[in-house]
This record gives sequence, structure tokens and C-alpha cells, in this order.
Amino acid sequence: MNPRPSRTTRILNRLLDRVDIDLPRNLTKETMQSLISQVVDEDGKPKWSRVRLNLTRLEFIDPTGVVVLCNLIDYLRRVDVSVHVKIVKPYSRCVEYLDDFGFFKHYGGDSLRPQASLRKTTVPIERVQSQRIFAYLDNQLMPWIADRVGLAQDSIAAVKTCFEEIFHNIDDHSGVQIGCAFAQFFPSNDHIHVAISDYGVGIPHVVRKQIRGISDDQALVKACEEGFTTKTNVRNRGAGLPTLIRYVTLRNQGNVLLASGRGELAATPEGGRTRIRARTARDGIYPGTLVKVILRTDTFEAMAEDVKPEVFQW
Amino acid sequence: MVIRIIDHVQTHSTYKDGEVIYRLVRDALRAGDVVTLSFAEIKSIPSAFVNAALVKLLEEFKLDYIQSRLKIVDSTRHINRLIKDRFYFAANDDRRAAAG
Repeated sequence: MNPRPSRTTRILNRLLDRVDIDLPRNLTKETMQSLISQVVDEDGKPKWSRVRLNLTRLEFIDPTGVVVLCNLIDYLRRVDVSVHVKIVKPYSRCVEYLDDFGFFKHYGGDSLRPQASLRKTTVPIERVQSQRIFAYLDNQLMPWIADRVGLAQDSIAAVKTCFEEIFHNIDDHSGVQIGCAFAQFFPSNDHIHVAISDYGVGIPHVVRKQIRGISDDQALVKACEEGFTTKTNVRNRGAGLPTLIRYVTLRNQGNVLLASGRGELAATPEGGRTRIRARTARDGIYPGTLVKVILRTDTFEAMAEDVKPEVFQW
Repeated sequence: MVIRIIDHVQTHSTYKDGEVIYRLVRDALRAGDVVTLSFAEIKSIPSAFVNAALVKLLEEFKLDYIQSRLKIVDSTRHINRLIKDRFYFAANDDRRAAAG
């Protein structure tokens, strides 16, 4: 539990319309909503005009936490909220990790440490605008993944297509046409985590235009059904998310996790099929959409077969 | 008539890219031509491209007519599977919709 600020501090903060937010020890998908709900209200509006994010207790942050933190800061800046970050020396390993992938350089203009440099296990965080999707995939994310799995970039073209499905989804639905992406390789279990997020209107909002009153978690399930189309994505006949989920879970044996509004959805492989589980988030809302893809690197070689020539027959 | 996708679009990913190919294939089918659609140098495509370029043809032509006139060449397993999945799903979907 975060220590509750003193009564004087709370009164002062209220008067000055500012808040100090202690980031949790672990910033992951499990804790992101509680962070966001302290800063953003249920309508996605900022609660304060000045926010100081206290990173001193932060011990672990995963790719989801990274895109959530960056999206949050970007969003607050966009709506003219003053954002500051509190860190203390000696820097924690987690702060060094943020420093190494360029977090402080991006937001503060310079790295904290002269020796800060990108680790082989991460790619730099990227705000991907719709017109830059291909440059990001071709020049950054895919060469990095190819390097991690020891295959030619051409051999993992089907994986690239999975990410194209996500970015097209953002383009079609979110209304913001910009997504934040971050990826990390975990050598301990040979998994690659890729988190892509936007702060757009969110999937439930779009689905409710078609099905009034549907809950956020069921709206996510609906969005993952083949053939379900909303007014805004009728062009793609509701195929983007189902195609992504089917390929990742059945061919890679990986997972796809979604969070949007109050809904959360997990797509996992189970006995040769895809299992979809949805639930209501426990700690608040996610204003926008988060897609996390967990890829197993040990199935990439088999997936390379998918992009070999084959004679087409109807 | 041979249509090489990479001769007509810079990227083969978005719905807009697919629409360029759709118009070429549609016009050839309207003229009664047999169309050979080449995926040369393309390893994989997302669903938006397939839907725009090919599945949309179902709005004007019956599936068996498309199957008899449209040849897919230089493709990969991933491309083939996606084309067939999307076509058969859309064709069944249209039949379900017609059945009410």
C-alpha cells in the first residue's frame, strides 16, 4: 500500500491543483489501472493540472508498464497538464533500465547516466504514427526480433503481419492514429513481449455503437469474433483482431492480451484451440486500448515454413 | 491478364493498398478475363489487404465465378490460408445473411 499523504499535504495539493503519485513497486498490466485512475477520471479527463510521478519506489516495470507510463505522460502533456518525475540517487536498477532505453532522454532531454545505452533485450520506445508503421516495423521492431530468434527478417514476415493488424486496428478505431510501442526479450523463458497501446476512444466505446448496453469485457469478446463489424471497421469485415489472435495462439503458441475501458481479455492456446477469457478490470479503467503480444521464440522456426512458397488451390 | 501486386502498390498492407488491386481485378473479371494475380516478392499480408483486394469481389461476383476466373500465383502458405479463410468465411456469412 502507498503511504497516505498527510492531511496538510492533501489540502495544499488540492489548493494548488497538484498531486504526487507514487508509482507502485511493480508497474505491470495488473497495476496499471490503479495508477491511471489516480490521474485520469472515468471520462478520460485529467484530474489535476500538475502531476508529479514519484519513481522512487518502482522496482520492476514490464513492457506493458512502459507503454502505459509513456502514454500517460504523453496524454497529460497533450492536455497541458504539467508533469514532473521524482527520482533519487543512487538510482534503482529499474530507473537505470528506464534510462537505458531512453526514457529520461526523451522526456528530460538527456540521459541520467553517461553510460546509459540501449540493451540488446529491448528496443527503444516508439510513438508510431500511422504513416510511420512500416518504417518502424521494417527498420526497428522486425530486425530486432529477427536478431533475437536468429532468423532472416523475411522468414518472420507473418509475425510482422500480426503487428500490422494491431496498428491497422488503432488506425481504424482509436481516433488518434498514433500508438506507443515497446518490446522486450526475456532470455529466462525465451519469450518476447510486445506492448502496443493508444489513448484513443477504446474498443468498448466503438462496439457499443453497434450493441447498446454491452459491458466492456463482453465488448472485447465481441471485437475478437470473426465477422463482427462496427460502423468504423466495416471496411475490414471484423477480421483484424481475430486474425492476429488466431495466428499468435495457434501458430506461435503465444498469448494476446487486451485491455480497454473496464474490460480485459486474454487469448491463450489450449489443446489446439484458442481460449478466450474476459473479465472486468478490478482497479479502474484503461482509457484507450492496450494490446500485449507474448511470443514464444522456440516456435519461430516452424512459423518460417508459413512464408515459404506454396501452390494455391481453391 | 497478369497482375503483379508489387507493380501497382508500394505497400501491400492497408485497405487502401487492397482497393488499388481490387479495381484492377474487378475490371478484368467484368470483362470476362481470366486474372492471374501474382504475389511475387510478397511473403505475408494482413486481413485488411485481402478483404479490400479480393473478398470485396463477392459483392459483385459469385464465389464459383471468382474461383473459375482468378488464379493466385507466387504465393506462400500464409497468404493462401488467409485468402481461403477470408473468402469462405465471407461467402458463408453472406449466405447466412441472405437466409435471414
